[in-house]
Amino acid sequence: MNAAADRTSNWVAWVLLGPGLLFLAGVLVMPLVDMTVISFRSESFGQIMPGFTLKNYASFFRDTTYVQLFLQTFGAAALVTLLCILFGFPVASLIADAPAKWRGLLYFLVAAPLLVNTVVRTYGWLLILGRKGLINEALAGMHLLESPLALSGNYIGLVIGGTQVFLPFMILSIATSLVAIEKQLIESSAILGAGPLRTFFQVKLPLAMPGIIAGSVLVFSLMLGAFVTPLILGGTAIKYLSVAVYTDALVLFNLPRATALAIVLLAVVLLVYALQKRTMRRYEEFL
Amino acid sequence: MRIIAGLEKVDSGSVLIDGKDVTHLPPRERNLGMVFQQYSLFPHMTVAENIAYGLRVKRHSESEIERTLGEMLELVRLPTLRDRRPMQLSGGQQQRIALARALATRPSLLMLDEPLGALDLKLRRQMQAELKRIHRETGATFLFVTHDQDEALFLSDRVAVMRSGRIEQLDVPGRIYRNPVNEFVADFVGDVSLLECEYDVGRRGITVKGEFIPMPLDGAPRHIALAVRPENVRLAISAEPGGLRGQIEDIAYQAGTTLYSVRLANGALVKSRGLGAPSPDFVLGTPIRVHISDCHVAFPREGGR
Repeated sequence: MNAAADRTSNWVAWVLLGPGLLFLAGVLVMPLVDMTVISFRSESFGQIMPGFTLKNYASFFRDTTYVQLFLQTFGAAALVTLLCILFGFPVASLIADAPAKWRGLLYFLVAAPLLVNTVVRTYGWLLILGRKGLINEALAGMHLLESPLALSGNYIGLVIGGTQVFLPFMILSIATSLVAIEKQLIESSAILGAGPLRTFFQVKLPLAMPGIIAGSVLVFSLMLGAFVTPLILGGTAIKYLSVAVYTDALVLFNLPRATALAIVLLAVVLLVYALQKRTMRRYEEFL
Repeated sequence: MRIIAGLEKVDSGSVLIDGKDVTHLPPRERNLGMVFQQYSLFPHMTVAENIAYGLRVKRHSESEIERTLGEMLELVRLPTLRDRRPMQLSGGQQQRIALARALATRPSLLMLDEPLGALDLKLRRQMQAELKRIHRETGATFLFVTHDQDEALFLSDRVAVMRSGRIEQLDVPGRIYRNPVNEFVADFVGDVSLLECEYDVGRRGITVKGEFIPMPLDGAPRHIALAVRPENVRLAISAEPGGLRGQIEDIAYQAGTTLYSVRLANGALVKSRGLGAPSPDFVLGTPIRVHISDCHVAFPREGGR
């Protein structure tokens, strides 16, 4: 009787899940399969040719411009992640140490920028960083500069913009970890004779690692996939993977190469997630 | 306790440890040990790393750390657990490791903030005995906060009964129990019945609703509240002369002893503890007579009833 009831509830669960699963299959799985197939085709004058080829992928390893593209993209994403940790940790620490009644407001303030469209925010940065932007005008006004600093249309702009855009994810992720740290652990460390620095590096930081790792994976993969920020603040001069995919697909009509690039991007992100899972399992053992 | 540890700032007054004013020293310069109720072991460190933490901070040599570590694990009788992580230990084991960590640096004062509060009764009793042994073996000063009065009496050389941040009585356990300074202390420590009665100076005894029990209380005022411990109350069948008349209202058998609640003629409830199982002479509703032996404290009462 129980087994029968279980079967019924199973059946109901599948029916309820059905529409969602069908939707996912239609808009996620199918296109992915399609993309994977196309990435092994060749292209001629914007047409996808039949047949199987590895040359799309092979060129990524042979062609130095592609090697450079990958290195610069991953480098920029890694730098953004690092900066997010450096800027995010103190803010997260402040939130975690704040009285509980203030925390809600602080969380909101951190998350508030996410309510503004990324395009709008990135254009905001352009107003600040541009050749005739706030910073350059101000510095020029103080006669500190002879020619404007190149703060946008290059990697500097990309990294500044990316850091600001994705910082909230890092802060929220680290804050969650820090809030969970028992206050008595910090106090125990102090009573045992440790100074603030030792307590930070030996107690607080190790216990915040799950949050830092989760935040890093989030920011790194979001930054890899970011398109608007690199396009607006990086401009056309820089090499960025997501922008390259866009150019290949919609400007050069080389779908096979664009999909191959996208698949590589996807593979990297999956790899990063797999690494995160592994390291997190180590922490779950004792936290 | 948090003020002694330096975790909380003082509004007024000062903190002296071994005669030295530490009021404005940060916690790390006070050379204290502290054990929290939630154990608060560092979850990312092994047992050995936890215990060695304070020693590493104080830059002891590795050989010295190793020796102290062995001593501490021996002291808390968990020598085989050094490479485990706190999550892999039971509550009682974690508490012992927390104790070892706090004692490793040989603090001038070890503070224990309801350390056994999270343990079940049996483990609690076991840990109390362990604590007593460790206290004896280390010879360190322990400051132990608890809400469990039995625990306080059992463990301590001196007990301070506190009410809203003030010490009501600071004394050896025996005197706290037998000679409480006020009703709060009397009521807080152990079972007690407060019996409102009048003291008859001439006959040297107390009267309750006309009934008299001889009881010399030198210097007692007329209206008093007598603090009576259940073990000093003897019940007798109602045919026996003397004593106060009452009726058994409740009987509770408690491992080895029986606690009777007796309602007296004046409405007061008096508890009596007898050895062994409930006596067949005394069942619910039995009219009986209550005798109070001479171990007692009287508190003055204004007016009377």
